[in-house]
Amino acid sequence: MVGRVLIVDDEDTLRLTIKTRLASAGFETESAVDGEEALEKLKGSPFDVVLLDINMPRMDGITALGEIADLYPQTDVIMLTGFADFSTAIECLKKGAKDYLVKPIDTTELITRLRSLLRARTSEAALADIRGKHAALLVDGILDRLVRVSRLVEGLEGGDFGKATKDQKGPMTAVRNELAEVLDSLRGAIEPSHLRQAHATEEAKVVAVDKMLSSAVAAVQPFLKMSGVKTDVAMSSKGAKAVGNPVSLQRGVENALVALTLAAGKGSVIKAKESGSDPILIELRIEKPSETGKKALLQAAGPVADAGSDFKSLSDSAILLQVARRMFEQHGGSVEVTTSQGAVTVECRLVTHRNA
Amino acid sequence: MNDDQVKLIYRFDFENGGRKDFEIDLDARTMGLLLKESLPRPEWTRLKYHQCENCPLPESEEYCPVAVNLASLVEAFKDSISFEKTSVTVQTKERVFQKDTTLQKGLSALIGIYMVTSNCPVMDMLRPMVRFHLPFATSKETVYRAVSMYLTAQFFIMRKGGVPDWDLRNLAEIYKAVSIVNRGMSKRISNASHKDANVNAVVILHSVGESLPYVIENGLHDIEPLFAEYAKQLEAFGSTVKRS
Repeated sequence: MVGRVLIVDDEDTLRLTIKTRLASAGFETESAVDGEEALEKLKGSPFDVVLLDINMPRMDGITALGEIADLYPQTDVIMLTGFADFSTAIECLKKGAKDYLVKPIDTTELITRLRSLLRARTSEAALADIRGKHAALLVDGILDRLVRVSRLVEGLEGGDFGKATKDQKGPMTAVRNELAEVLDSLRGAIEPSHLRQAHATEEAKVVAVDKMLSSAVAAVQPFLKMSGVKTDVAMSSKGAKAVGNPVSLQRGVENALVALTLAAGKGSVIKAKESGSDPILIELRIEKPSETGKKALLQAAGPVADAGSDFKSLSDSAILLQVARRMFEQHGGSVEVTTSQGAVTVECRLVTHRNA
Repeated sequence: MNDDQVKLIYRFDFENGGRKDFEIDLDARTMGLLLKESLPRPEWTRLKYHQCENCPLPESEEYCPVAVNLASLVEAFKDSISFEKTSVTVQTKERVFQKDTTLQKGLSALIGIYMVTSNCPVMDMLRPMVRFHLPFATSKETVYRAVSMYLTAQFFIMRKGGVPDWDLRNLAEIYKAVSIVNRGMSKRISNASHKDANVNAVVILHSVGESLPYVIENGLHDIEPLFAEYAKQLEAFGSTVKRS
C-alpha cells in the first residue's frame, strides 16, 4: 500500500474509475459522495490524501476543504473540477489545497501526482522528525543543566549568602523563582519519544571507561563542592573499553552523579566504582542520603511511562536518572536504582567493546 | 418513422417544472445522424479550436464534426449545474427507459450518441453500440457492450479472411483514442458553458473510456464468473463447442 486516498465526488462513475485505477497502482482507497460524507470518513480513520470535487450537493468541495484544513492538517487535498476556473483554483490553494486538477482526469497523471505528493509528505515528515529530535536534545541538555544551576542557587542561599542582607537576598530569590518557572516550562516542552529517538541516532564509538568516568566527575565537581559532597572514585581494571557515544554516556554518568548529589545529606560521600565485570558496571553509591532525597531517587527505580506529562510529576533527581537511563539504553546499556541498608546505588551497565 | 431510421427521444423533466426534449434520427444502416436542418457552428466548433491531439482529419476540414453535432445541446444546458435533479425518459421504437437521476448522468448518454454519430473517424469505431444504445448504463454494462461489439467485429473480420484480435488488444487502443477525443471535447465545451453540467457529462463518458483498457488488462475478471458454464464445457470436451 503506497498511500491511503479518499475520493470525494458526487458522480459514481468517476469515483469507480479513479478507485479502480488507484487500487491497481497499489493505493488503498475509500469513496464519499459529498463533503459531509467525506468529513464523516475522515473522522473514522486518517487518509494521506483527499481527492475533492468542487461542485457537489449538500456540502461543496470548497466548504469541505476549509473543514479538512482545520481539522485534519496532516491530510493533503487535491481539488477536482469539471470547470477550468483559475480564480477558484487560487481560492482553493489559498485555503490549503496542495494541487488542482481539471476533469476529465488522466488517471496516469493523477497517479504520478499522488506519488509525488506522498514522497514530499515523507520528506517533510522526516525533516520534522529530525527537527523534533534536535529540539529534544537541546531541551534535554538545557533542562539538566538548569537543574544543576537551580541547586547551586539553593546552595548559595543556604551558605554564606544566608547571612546576606534582605536587599542582597531579593535578587537571589528572584533568580530562583525564574529558574523554577523555566524548568517547569522545559519539562512540559520535552517530548520523551523524540528524546529517545534522538539518542538512538547518535554514533557509537569505543569509549575508554576510566577516562569517561573521571571526566564526568570533573564536570560536576563544582556542583559537588558547592553541595559539600565528597567523591571516592575507584577503577578496578584500567583500560576497560565500552561501546557507545562518548558524549552521551558521559552525560549519563554526570546526570546520575548530580541526581545523587541532590539527595545528599550532611557529610554524604558518593563512591564511584568500576567493577571490572563484563558487561562493564559502574556503581555510583551514596550512603546516608536525606530522607526526601532518597524518596526522590527511588522515583526513578521503577519503569516510567513514555509520556511528556510524566516529567512534570517526577523529582529533579528522578528526571536526571530517567534521562541517564535513556542515554545508556540507546547504546545497549542500562541504569538501575537500588537501595539497601539506607544507601542508594545507581548501577550503570555498559556494553563491553571486544577487539575483533 | 420507417425502418430505414432509428429514432431516439430524450426528455428531461426538472423539479421546477421545466422540460427539454431532444429527438435524434439516425440512419439505420450507418448509424449516422440524419439532419433536418443545418446545425449552428459557433466559434468553438472550428476544427483548430482545442483540436484533439489525435485528430486524423485533414486541415481542409473547417469544423470539428463532434463539436458541430453537440453545439445545440451544449447551448441548451450551458447554464445548468451538473447535479441538478431530473427525470429522464428515453423513448425508442421498442421500449421506454426512465430514470430519476442527475442532469450530468442523463446528459452523458445523450452526448455519447451525438459524439459517436458525428462522422469523427475516432468515434466511428463505436457506432454499433449506438444501435444497441442502453441509456443510464453502468460502467460494467458499458464494458460488456463494448467487448461484445468488438468481438462481433472480430467475428466478421475472421469470416472475411482477416486475422481477428481475440485478445482485445486493439479495443484498449480504441478506447485510449476515444479518451483523447473526450478530453479535447471537454475543453471546447468548458469554454462554451457557464456552468458544469455539459463538461461533467463528457467527464462521465471519459471515465468509462479511461477505465476500459485497465479492465481488459485485468482479464475482465469481474465478469468472468458469469461464464462458468462455458469453462465447464472446455473442461469436458476440450472445446467450448460440441461438434457433431
